[in-house]
Amino acid sequence: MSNLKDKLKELFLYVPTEKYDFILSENNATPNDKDLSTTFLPDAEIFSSLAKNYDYLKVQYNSLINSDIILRPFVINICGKTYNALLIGIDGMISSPLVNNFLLRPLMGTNSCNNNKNLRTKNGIEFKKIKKVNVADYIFDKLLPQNTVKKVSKFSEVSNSVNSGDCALFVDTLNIAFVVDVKGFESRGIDSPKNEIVVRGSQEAFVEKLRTNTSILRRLINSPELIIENSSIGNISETKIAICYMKNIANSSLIAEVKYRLNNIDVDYIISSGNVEQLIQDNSKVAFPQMISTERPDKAVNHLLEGRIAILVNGSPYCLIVPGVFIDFLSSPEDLNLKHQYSNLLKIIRFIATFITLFLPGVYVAIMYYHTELVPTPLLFTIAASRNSVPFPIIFEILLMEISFELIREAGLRIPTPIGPTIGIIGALVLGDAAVSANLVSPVLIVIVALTGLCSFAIPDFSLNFTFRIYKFLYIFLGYIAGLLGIAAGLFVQVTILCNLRSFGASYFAPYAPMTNLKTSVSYFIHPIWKREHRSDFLNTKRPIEQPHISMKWHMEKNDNKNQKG
Amino acid sequence: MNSIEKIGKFEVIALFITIISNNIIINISTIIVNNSSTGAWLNIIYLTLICLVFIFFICKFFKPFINSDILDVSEFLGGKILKTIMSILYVALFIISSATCIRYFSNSLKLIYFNYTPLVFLILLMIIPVVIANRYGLKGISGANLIFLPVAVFSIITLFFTASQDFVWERLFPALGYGAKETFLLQITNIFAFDVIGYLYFLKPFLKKETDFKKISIIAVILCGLYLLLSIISLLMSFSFIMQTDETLSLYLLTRLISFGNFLQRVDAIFIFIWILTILSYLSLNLFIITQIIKKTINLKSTAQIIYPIAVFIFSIGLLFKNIMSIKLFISNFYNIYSAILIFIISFIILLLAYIKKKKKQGVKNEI
Repeated sequence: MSNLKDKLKELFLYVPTEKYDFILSENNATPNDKDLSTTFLPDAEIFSSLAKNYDYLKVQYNSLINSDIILRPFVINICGKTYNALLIGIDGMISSPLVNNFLLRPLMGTNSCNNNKNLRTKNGIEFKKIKKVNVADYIFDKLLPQNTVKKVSKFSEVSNSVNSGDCALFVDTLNIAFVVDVKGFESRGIDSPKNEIVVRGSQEAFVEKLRTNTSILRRLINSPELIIENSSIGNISETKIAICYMKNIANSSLIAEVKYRLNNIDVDYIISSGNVEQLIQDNSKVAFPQMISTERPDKAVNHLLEGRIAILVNGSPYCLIVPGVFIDFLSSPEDLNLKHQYSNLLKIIRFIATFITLFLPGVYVAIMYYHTELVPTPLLFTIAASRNSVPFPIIFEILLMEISFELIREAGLRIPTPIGPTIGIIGALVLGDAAVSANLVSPVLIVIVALTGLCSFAIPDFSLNFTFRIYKFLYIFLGYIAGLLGIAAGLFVQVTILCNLRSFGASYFAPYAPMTNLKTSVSYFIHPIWKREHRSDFLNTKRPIEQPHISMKWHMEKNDNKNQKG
Repeated sequence: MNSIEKIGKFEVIALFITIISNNIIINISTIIVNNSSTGAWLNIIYLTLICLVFIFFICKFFKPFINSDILDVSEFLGGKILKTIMSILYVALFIISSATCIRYFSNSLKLIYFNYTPLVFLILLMIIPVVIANRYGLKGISGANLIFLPVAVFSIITLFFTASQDFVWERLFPALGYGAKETFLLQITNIFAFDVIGYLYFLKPFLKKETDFKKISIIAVILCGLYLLLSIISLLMSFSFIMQTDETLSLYLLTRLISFGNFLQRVDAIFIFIWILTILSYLSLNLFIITQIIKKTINLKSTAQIIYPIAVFIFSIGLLFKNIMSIKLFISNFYNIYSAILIFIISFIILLLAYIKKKKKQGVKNEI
């Protein structure tokens, strides 16, 4: 009844609307927020009073509202003397069994200093022999049966470690804390590569966990010359990164430059290697990729042994490799696993695919508008006949189809995995067929767009593929306004810009422009494995020779034996 | 020059080949054939030998002047006045050669492909990339040139071999053309075709290794001679020399002869595409040298400010010509003589006198 009344009221009477309305203040932070932000003291020293440390940690970690922060106070008995202690860790990041069995149990249980073995009897009187001990050393040496324990004296160091899954132990009277590695958070296991699939290569890929990634590199390289330096980026996130290089191969200036750039990034946070890439690249205006990004450890190892530097970012399954030059982005990790004849054939195909991706639509437009004599006469008749019923100009046709293709590609990524590829293929087929049937586009154009799209998938590097997709539209425009003259002008400008581009000191078109000694340099096409004697000279490595002139010594020895017998 | 940009010998040789290719594309070989008729090929061999001797002396005279170009040598000889005069003469030479080249080629393109496109638009489309390339300096220009060069060389060699099916050897004769006196004495003015030597005067300080200067100079002259010989022989053997007098781009005429079966019968646009790249490289180098000369003469800190005005100036001069014939007349009546006198006589004399002066100074120092 009351409902009906309300409805009638709503219909015939004025009822003020009560809309829930939340608007963020235009100012980024209220004055109170600003005050709060300044209470954080990252560089404060650890106090000797546990109570003070406890209060500090409570404020720093907002333990009253943070549900996953564990602050565990307890008592340690050392040589008959009791000390208040505090353990801090983050639930979900630490391993509870490790904490219970290898931290709390030794600390809270009986230790050699306070058991009854120390009881002595003299003249019928029992007394306890108490040694004067250094508490910090005693805890470090005898009470923490862990392989990774660090003494730290600043709260910033404590928070760094605790945030990455360690536990920190505070003891009253000590102005240091013990950071113990008890990481136990869940992470993805090593899986096969998703985007850089090869037939004959390794089936391992990097994961999100930094230490797992460094261990893969260490295992594959198996040399003490591999240096893995740790650093962190981000004022808030303090994301851990690892700079990996071969000490006896990589150029010292290159190492210094990489460290310099990485240590001079002032951002609040980074979440992936893609962020780092954009922050340390030489020229951010150029769309072309300037460093190699790979999910394959074997590719990273190959580049490390060549004298390049790898950068791993915690939380990212991609490794950055610097410097990266143009030919690197046209090379597949499979190239080195195959015989050079196979690899070079694939490289030729990829090279052609690159040209088709970049130029085919633009050249088609240019030819159709300005240079029709290039097309053989029978083919020209076919094209003209097929375009007869199409009402749009070629430029509109091609833009329509190219944009549709990009749309299908983008939508294919967003559609849930089981039906994504099917929708992509069906979408392309149906759309193409329907467009031709509806006389929106000519069949030749469908072939051009499909071939361009297909060839773009032959480019091994995702970023380069993206770059070419962007520039393809530029060449279509240039072909439209000035035919091959426009395309030539665009190409000239693009190549000039790229020739001037450098990636960590290496020319982008190395070793071709500026031309170095191609005999002693790694070029686009690869030599047989026994002939790869030199490292790329644009890397200016400490060990330019990769292998001796005769690497297949067994071959020589056999020949020598034959000669001796002869 | 004060620039820190240095380039290797491959880059410099590639730049020279581009200059030569450009000369051939914009009809230098036709002008020589018109001047010397069937004796042109012998004339070129003869001029190549003369240029080699000339280069030998140039290298010898340049040797005491480390890291110097012709302007530095002029300053050493005649102070700032001579340097300024030489700067003006060379800036004029390069501006004229750029303007004639850009206009000649754009006009030819208009005639061949872009009948309905305004000429200004075509010239603009050629000058804009040149300006952008110059913003990136010599490294960018030489690098791009090095990338395009193999394709350009391949195109001309392909042109020679594919057109060879229409060659008639008899057209090379009479080998002495209008006579021995004309071929070897009066037609010495054809030496303007070796204007690549003019660039040698300026590119020396940009070399990574100055010791390569002699090697590069000799290679440049030999390549220039070979290229010219190849193009002249192709032209002579393909057409009767009387036929091609009024052709805009003679090499283009050769491309029209090429066909691959019944399917590809007109591939000239592909050649034109490659030649556009070559011409853009050539124009970029010219603009770079002009800006460097001006920078050096009036002590500018950077060339960035003068790239645009010079480009506009070249663009305007290019528009001054009425048509292709007026450019042809201008080249054969003025430019050829001007460049030959400046490169082969004035510069040579300055180098010789500066060399003597330097030797004398060194002699005095040694005596002290």
